[in-house]
Amino acid sequence: MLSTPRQLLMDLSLKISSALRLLGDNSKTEYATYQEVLRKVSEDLKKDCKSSTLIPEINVRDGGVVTHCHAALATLFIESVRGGHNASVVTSALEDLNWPADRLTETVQELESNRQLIQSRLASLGTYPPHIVDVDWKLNYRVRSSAGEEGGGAMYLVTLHTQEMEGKRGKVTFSCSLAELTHLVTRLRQATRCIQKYANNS
Amino acid sequence: MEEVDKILILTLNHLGCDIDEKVKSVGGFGIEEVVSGVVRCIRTINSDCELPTSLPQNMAQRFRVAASIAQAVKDVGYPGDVGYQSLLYPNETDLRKIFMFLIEKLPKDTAAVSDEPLNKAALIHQEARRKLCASLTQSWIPAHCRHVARSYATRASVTNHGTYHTRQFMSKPYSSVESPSKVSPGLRTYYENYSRRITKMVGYEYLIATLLNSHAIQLQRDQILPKNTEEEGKSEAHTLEPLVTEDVQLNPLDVPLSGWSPLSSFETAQHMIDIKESEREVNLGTDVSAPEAGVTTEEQIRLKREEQLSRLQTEIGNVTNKTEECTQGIQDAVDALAKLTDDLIKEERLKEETVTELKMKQRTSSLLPESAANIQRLQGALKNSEEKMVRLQQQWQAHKKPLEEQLSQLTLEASNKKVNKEEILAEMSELRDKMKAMVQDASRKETALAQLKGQVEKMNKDINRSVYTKRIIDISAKEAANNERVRQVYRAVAAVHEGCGELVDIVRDTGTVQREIADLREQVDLEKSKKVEENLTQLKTDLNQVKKENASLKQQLL
Repeated sequence: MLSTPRQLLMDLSLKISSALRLLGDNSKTEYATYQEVLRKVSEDLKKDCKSSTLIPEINVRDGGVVTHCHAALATLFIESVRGGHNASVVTSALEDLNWPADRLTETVQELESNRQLIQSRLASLGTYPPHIVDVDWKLNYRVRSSAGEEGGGAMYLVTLHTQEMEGKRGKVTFSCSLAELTHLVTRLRQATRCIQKYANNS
Repeated sequence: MEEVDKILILTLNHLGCDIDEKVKSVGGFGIEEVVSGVVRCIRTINSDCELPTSLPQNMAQRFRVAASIAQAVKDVGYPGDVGYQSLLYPNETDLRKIFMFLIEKLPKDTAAVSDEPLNKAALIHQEARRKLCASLTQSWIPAHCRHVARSYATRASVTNHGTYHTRQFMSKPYSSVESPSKVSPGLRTYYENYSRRITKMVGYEYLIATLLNSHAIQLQRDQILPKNTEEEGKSEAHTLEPLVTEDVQLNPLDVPLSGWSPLSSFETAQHMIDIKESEREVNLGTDVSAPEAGVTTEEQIRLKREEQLSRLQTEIGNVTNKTEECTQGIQDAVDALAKLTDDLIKEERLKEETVTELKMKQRTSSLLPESAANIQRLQGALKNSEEKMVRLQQQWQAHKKPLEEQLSQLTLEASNKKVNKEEILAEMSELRDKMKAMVQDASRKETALAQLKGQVEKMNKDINRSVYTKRIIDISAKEAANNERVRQVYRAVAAVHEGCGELVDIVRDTGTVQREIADLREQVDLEKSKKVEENLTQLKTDLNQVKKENASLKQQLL
């Protein structure tokens, strides 16, 4: 299997770096505070957006360190997954910020255990074309028009049911003659073959 | 010829033809095999081709299809003569030529071996192919089951689980919280007591997008203002403060609309609570007054609420003023205290000085009555102390020397150690750089290895070994040309080769005659193999059938 192309250095903004430096500093941030930050970050990233509501939280007097470092650590997690940085890159980035070994290994372990989840959450962000999930169709045969013209032939009325973002439903409706429908099907088949050829040819 | 036929049959089978194992040579091909082989070759060369792989039963249609296949062979670039007869009445030599040409033309997937294994575009293509392959092999899930399947899957994919779980990249405005040690004291108390996590401010669904967005903005800002960030941060804090107080004092009702800054969201929450409480109060009030007043109109409630609001506003104003006054008072008191403490210390020092002076003066005054004796005593004491002084100085010198030597030695050592340390530090950083570079290199090589492994796996299926041997020979020739020593050896070998060549020429001359004989024999065989008579009878029967078909068609017409 091929690994994804990865970058070897992490780009972190000055604000994030200084916040992380503070979080990793044994003398300025207590171990308990650090653990609280780490726990909250992985909790927040794990939570399913659909099932959660905003619950007011009791304020803990921690000198604002938790809030300050929480966003920075969360950003580090997300950016490292987004950039495809593996554990060693993150480790060296945190080493550059003077993190002690115990916090470092703990954080990297937490990141690795959450990596797949963050990856799929990142993947679900974005604009996706609607998916066709169902189709209704009807065949109309026109024998004579209201103006008295004869013929006209068969017309297909097709409704494609689609699923859009966040499970919204949509519809695409069109009508076409038999020839047009055949043409459409041929083109779709061609497209399928094209994709299969691309996927198998390497 | 047998070797060639083996390769041809193997290749055709690989393309999907179903050629019987008993068939050993091209001469043994039936019409079906010929047509399907040729058509499959053409399809592989040119994917747009829509020819059928088998011939229809009707004789006339048969001829037409055969003619179009022959045309396709010509279109591919076959230089020799080809027509429907070469497919329907095949002759071994022509057929072999056609197949050899077509197989030569087949696209070679080995050509994809690139010299640059880490080409970015190629990697992206490969990844895309891998993903496409994966999603093509996925099993289909009915649309109404997809979100259920997703909740059990370890990772959601759009191709497998539909778009139910996807959302737009929407972020909310968010300015990150400053480090509590850097902000002004007013803001610090806010941060320490009331700041909330970003998740609470923007909500879970916007968390990732918001963080990515704000980080991108910060990076951009870092690029533009790489050094002035601290000053900028300060100025930001300065501009923030008055804005906030204005909001609080002037029109607190507008705060919910004014944005999502951490302070305002907190304020919003507080206001919501206040408003709710006041509403409850109002409701209670109406409940109590309901039986007396009868009907209470909306207008009254609104008026009451406004009244309450204005009351609360003035209260807030009062409280703020009071707080400010108190803070001022505390500040003043602290200043006064510091001043007084300073004064106290000064006074105490003055007192000590005076006390020591007093003691001196008391002693001098006690010496005054017996001045002569006292003076002598004092002189003796002075002498003694002078002698003592000299002695001590000698002792001091004796002590000082070895210590000084030791000191200079230690300083020297220390400086040496310092230099050593610096060297080691430099070495360390160098090693670290090297390490990083090596890690980089290693991962690059890993990727290359993985890629090459993939290619090797795919290559194993390939049968056209001669292409590889040829390539290997080419490469080694190139290598030889590059190397100085090998070049000399190569030259010597070439000289030997030349000598041998002459010998071979002589042998060849004798061989020519033998070959001519063989050629003549072969020609006789060839003429026999063309199966002219057989083909002629086949053609006659086909002609008869066409005539019959035509006659029957005429019959139908009549």
